[in-house]
Amino acid sequence: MGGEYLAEPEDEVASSMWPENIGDKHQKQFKMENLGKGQDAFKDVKFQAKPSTADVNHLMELTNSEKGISQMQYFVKHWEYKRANTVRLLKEQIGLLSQQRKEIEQKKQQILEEQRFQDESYNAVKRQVPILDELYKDEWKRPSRKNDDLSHNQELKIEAEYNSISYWKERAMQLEKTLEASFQRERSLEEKLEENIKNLQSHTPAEEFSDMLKRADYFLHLVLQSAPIVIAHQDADLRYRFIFNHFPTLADEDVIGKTDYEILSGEGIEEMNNVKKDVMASGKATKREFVFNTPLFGAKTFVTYIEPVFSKSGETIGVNYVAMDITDQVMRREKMADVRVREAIQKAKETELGKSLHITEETMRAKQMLATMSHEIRSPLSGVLSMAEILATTKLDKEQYQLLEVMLSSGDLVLQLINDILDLSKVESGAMKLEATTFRPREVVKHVLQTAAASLKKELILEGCIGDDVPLEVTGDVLRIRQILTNLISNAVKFTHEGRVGINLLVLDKQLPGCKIEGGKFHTKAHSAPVAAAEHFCASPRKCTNDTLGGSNLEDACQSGIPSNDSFVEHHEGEEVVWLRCDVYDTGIGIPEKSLPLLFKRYMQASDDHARKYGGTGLGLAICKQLVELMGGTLNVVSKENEGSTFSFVLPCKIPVKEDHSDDSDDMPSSGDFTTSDIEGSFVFKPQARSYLLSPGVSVMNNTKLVSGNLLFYDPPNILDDRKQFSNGFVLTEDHSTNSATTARQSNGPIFRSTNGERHDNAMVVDLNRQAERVSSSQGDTASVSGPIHVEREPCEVHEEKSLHKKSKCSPSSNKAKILLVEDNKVNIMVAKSMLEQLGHGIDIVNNGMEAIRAVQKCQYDIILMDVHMPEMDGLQATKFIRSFENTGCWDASVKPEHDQIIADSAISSDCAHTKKQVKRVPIIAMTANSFAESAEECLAAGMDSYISKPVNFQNIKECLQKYLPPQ
Amino acid sequence: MAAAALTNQLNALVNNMFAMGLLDDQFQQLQMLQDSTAPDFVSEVVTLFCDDGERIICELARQLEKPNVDFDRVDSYVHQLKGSSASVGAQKVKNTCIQFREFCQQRSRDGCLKTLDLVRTEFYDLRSKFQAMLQIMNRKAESTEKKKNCDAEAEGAS
Repeated sequence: MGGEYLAEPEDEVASSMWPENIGDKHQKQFKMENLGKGQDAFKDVKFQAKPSTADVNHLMELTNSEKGISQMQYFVKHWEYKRANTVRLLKEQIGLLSQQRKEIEQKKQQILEEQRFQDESYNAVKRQVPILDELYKDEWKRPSRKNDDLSHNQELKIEAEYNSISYWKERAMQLEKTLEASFQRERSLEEKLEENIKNLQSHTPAEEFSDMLKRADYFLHLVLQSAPIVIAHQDADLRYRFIFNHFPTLADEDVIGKTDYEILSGEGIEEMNNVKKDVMASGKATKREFVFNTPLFGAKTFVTYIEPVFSKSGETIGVNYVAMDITDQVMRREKMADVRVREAIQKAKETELGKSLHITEETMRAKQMLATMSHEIRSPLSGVLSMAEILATTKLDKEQYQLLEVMLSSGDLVLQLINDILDLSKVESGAMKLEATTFRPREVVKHVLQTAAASLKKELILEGCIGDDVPLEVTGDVLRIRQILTNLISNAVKFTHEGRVGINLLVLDKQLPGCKIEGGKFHTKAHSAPVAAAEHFCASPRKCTNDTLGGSNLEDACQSGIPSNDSFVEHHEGEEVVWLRCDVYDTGIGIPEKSLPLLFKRYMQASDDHARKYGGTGLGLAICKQLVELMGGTLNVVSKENEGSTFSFVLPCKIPVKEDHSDDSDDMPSSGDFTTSDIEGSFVFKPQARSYLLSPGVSVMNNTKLVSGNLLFYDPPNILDDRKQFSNGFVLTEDHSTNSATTARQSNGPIFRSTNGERHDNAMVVDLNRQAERVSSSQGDTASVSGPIHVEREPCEVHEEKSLHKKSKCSPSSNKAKILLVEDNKVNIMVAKSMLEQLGHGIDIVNNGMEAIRAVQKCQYDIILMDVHMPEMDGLQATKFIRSFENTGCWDASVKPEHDQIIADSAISSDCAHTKKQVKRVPIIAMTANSFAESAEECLAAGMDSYISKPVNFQNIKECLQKYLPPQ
Repeated sequence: MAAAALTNQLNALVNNMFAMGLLDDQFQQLQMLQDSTAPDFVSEVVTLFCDDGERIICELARQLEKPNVDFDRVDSYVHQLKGSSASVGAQKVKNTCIQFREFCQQRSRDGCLKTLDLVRTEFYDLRSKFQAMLQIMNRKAESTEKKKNCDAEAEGAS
């Protein structure tokens, strides 16, 4: 019981006397748990073989270093502090004890007094008091307050009657016991105090240091045992004096006393040593990453903290370093960086892509815009030009005429340019559609040359040469081919000042059987590599004269890998395909080699000089190339500066089946004149000066020398008869009045007009001509004219039908009632028509409300049978318009007749009875289907007179007509 | 004699069609319209109706297949078919067309598709009957032609 009793207060006392973390108040570098028995904490921790290696002798040196001294000073300070603290605590305890003693004294006094009082009151046990006095003296030395309580409690436990003798006896016994216990406690307390004092004395600084150091060591080991770090100290010669290496690869003796160089070799060692030396020299700590690649431990990256160690005198005596393996981290970091870089690249690419996409979109939009604008410009421009041309036919003085000529030629240029732009954007957008028509290649070549000759203003020979084996007729888009040829020829003419310009047309590989094989060999290559072919052409420039062309062209063609006829035919069964090769050559200024690649690009010309000198936009060749490629061919150029150029294109053309050919001569009266023998293989156009035709206006405009070869002399080589036949086509004044021959227009006014007449017969109405007609007719020319936009004065004339719609017919006036049937359903039309015809009425049929209005504008009807539900304009709407016209005499703006004159003129025109100012109200009968959308009320409200429900039958239609038709 | 048999056959067929409710009085109007000035009127109208109807039904099917059905358009097609069928007296088809238009009005694709199927069956049913009818009419025309020729020959011989 006594042991237990002692244990409790001891704990309390100890905890109050030795507060935990006493060192926290003081700055402590080793932050460790202050366990009373430090060793216990490490019982469970198993220390592996100590990897640290140390040179203990050097440690003594180190203690002399600044660091070591400060470390020692720290220890001493710490010990002193601890001592002072202990003293202070002891003093406190003494104070406490003495205070307790005082209290005990007081208590004793009190008890004694009490005792005395009791003695006085009751005369028993008087003699005990002095003894008690003595006893209590010792008893109350106890310091614990707890004991007070205990003793006090005991006092109350006396069972006997108060103040009786037994009571006092009991009490005395108890007090004795307490006294004894008190003695015991005092003794043990004293013992303890002594022990404590002993303990205090045994705590020498050395012991405490070693204790602390031991604990620090344990902690360090605990922390370090799994840390992948190397801690080392090296002396001034960078020899290892201490090393802790978690992953020791070398034995102690291999490391201590050696330098890095002696231990390791390889990448990174040199660098680390240099840094260590720097640190020693500068005396400043540093942190660096070193990449090692040594045979010993491979490629590793360490982050290393190196700090210098100074001696007392401030000299550097070595370095400490801590190194940590961060190979994995570095790898990860590099990977991250890599990923980041890639991300950045990706992002940049995306932005770039987005940008280019945007640009592409913008470009497309711009192109579209250009095309739209061009289209918008073209219509008014052609109006201006045609008006100007008409103006040219009127009476003008010389100056006016010259001005007009300039105007016309500029306008033509603009028009050409706009057409080019439109063509190009058409091809690029894929909207260009090729039309397959049967044509005669010889004629095409000839016409192109003719046209070129017609506008020729230089002394040039234009010649054409067509291979004998070129088929008489081939199928292709003749318009586009003509366009290409015309473009190339006009280019050739433009850049040629003297000599010749010509076209050679031949069939590839039909003549040379040897070539076939070669062509076949190149076959696969040819489809994929038209560019290569072009390069080949460029690489072998040659002078192009008429004589040398025949053979060499074919050779070239075969070499450049144009697919042979045979191989192509395989792909197109049934129809034979020929590859036509067309060369347009000239003896002009040629194209410098460096400009060749740019030649087919849009808006590109061989050089700026050329652009200034010759004008043009550089669109022509781009269009040609695109057109040729669209047709499945290739366009190439061969040129030599100052000697000339040859543009060659190869096109696949189908040869039409024989029976088509025989039909054609009947179908096409224009070409019917020519038999096979008429079209010869070659023709030459030579300029002939006709001075008398030279009008001053022209020469001013042209800026050419003297010759203005507007009229050409055609010299057929073979047959005399041909002359006559060709003369139709060839004499400029007749054929090309609108296109080019401005002189002809002036001098040959009447011919011009008659040409127009001819053209009408052939149904080849050109815009310009129409304009001309209008003028000619308005001038009082009685020539019969027709045309969609022409002003008609007599609406009931046959011509008018065409301008309306197919089905609207104005029957000639008769005493039969004229009925307009407005209906969109074919079956209904058929039935209704049949019924009405059986009833003996003449009817016109139109398909919707709009057409009905147009018909009413042309003709007077006795009755209108109007379907309600129709596309475009329904019957109700149409009725409203018609009624509104009948009431006001003029049409609503939205349905105004195409020619206002009809209405306006009708008032004064006498031969049309129906055009009186007072318009008769025409009965309009609705034909309703009795469905929800077509109520009878609505029909009546719209101005209809009545309605019959569909399907119409004899009965109701007859009744209706009887009711509404005027009695005949 | 053959002509009489054919006429009987034709009458039986047409009567049957009337009885089945395929046709209504309007068809009689067509028959009335056929006379010497327009001897093939009925066959012409019927052929036109058949062609037109088939076209419209195809078009309707196409329209209703679209993800966004243009009901106005469908409606106008149905209106056409309704007009045509009314004109030739194709009663059943016409009535179904009226239903069809109601579904159009309700913008009910399912209803439209259902009635389209109905219209299609009815139309093809009618068309096969019409075709049979046209065949008989052709044969009848041929036989009368033959008869005429025979008569002419007989006349010439006498």
